[in-house]
Amino acid sequence: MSSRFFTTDALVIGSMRYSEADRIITLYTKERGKISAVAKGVRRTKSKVGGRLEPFSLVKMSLHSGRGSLYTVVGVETVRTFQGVRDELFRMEEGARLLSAVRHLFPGEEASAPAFNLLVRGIARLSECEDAPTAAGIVLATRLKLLVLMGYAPEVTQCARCGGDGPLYGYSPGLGGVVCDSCVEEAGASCFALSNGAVATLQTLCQNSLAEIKDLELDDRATAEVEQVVAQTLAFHGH
Amino acid sequence: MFSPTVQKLVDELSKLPGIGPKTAQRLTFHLLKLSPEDALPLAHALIEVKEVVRFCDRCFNLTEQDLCDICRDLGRDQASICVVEEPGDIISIERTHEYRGLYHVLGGALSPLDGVGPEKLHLAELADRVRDEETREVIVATNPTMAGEATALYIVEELRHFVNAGTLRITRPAAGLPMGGDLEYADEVTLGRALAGRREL
Repeated sequence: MSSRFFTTDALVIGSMRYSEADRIITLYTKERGKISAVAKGVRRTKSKVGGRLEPFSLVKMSLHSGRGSLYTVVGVETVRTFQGVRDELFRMEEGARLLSAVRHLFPGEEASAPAFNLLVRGIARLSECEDAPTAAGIVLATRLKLLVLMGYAPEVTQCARCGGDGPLYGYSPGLGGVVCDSCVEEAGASCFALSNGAVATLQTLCQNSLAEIKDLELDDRATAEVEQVVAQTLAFHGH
Repeated sequence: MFSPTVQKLVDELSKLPGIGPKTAQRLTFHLLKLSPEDALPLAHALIEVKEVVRFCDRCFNLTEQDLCDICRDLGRDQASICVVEEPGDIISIERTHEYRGLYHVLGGALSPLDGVGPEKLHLAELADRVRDEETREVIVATNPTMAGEATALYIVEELRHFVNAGTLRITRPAAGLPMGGDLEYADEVTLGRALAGRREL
C-alpha cells in the first residue's frame, strides 16, 4: 500500500458540515497531532461510519493524504465511544471546553503521545463523573496538564518576573506565572489578581492525577479563578 | 480580471454553500450567455422569495402568510409538537405520513463546541407554546449528532416541570438500523442504541 495511506489512533475533537452529505472532522491523532479530514457521505442515514465520527469518539482511523492539507477518511473502527459525555448536558459542556482548548492549543501536525494519552484519560474520567463540580475539576486539571505538557506550565511558587518569594499579587499570562506586589506594574495590563486559595488550587490540580480529582474538595471561588488563569494562558499561547 | 459587474456576480455566487470561485465563474459565464428571457426569471425568483417568504409566527416554518399551512390546518393534532432543527426536516417527517401533529423549528441546534447557545435558537418560544397551547406531547426530532443530543437534553431540562406536573410527555424518535441496511456494517453507536431501544414483538 502506498505511503499516502496510514492508520492511527485518533480522538474526534470537532466536526462541521461540508458539501451535500460530507463532514470535515478535526482529529487529534497519536501519530500526527492535530489534523483535519474529509469524511465523505457520513451525513447520510445509511453511512456506516457516521456514528463513529461524533466528537469525543476514540477511533482507529485509516486516512489518505491528498494534495492539500486535508486528509480523506478511508476507514474507521471504534475503540471507545465515551457515550457518557454525551448523556448529560454538564459533561457535554465541560467536554466542549476541553476540546476547544485542544483545538486552540495545538498547532498543526505535531505528534505528542503523552498529550494524546492525557486527553483520552481526561475524557474517560469525564464520561464517568457524577456531578458538575467534579466534571469542571477534571476538565480544568486536564487543560492545565496539557499546558504543562506543551511547555507552558504556569509558575505558581515564586514571582515569574523577579523570582522573589514576596507577597504574591496576581497572575500574568504574558510572564507565564504569578507575580509579586512589587512587579505588578511591570507585568502589564493583562495581569489580574489571584487569591491565595487559587494559587493553592492551581498547585493541587497540577500535582494530583486525574483519578484523584473527584476526591478533592475544590473551593468554587478558587476554581473560578483558576479557570481564568487557564483560559487566559490558552488565549495567550493558543493558535 | 473581470469587469466590476461580472466580478460582483462571481463574488455573490461564491458565497453560496458548495460553490467555490471556479464554479461561481462557470455559473456567471453561463448566465451571461443566456438570453434576458431565460436569465431574468432567476433574478425575479430571488427577489420574490426574499420579499414573500418568511417564518411562521407560531412554529418558524417557512411560509408566505402569518401562519404556515401546517399551523393553519385545524385537522392536525393540536396537542403534539414535533421539534426539528431546520424547516427542511419537516418535509422529511411529512413524507413518512406517520405524524399528524404540529411542528416547531428551532433554527439550528445547541453546539457547545461552536458557541451556539440557547438564545440563538427558538427555545424560549417552544416553552411558551407548551404552556399556552396545553401541549401533551413534545417529540424531540433533532439530529442524532452531538449538537442534536445536547439540544434534546436542554429541552428536557426546560420542560421538566410540565412533565413532573403530569401534563406533558417528551419523546424522541427511536435510533436504530436503517431499513435495507446490513447488521454486519452497522456502527457500534447506532447498533448499541438500537439494542437499548429494542421493543417487544
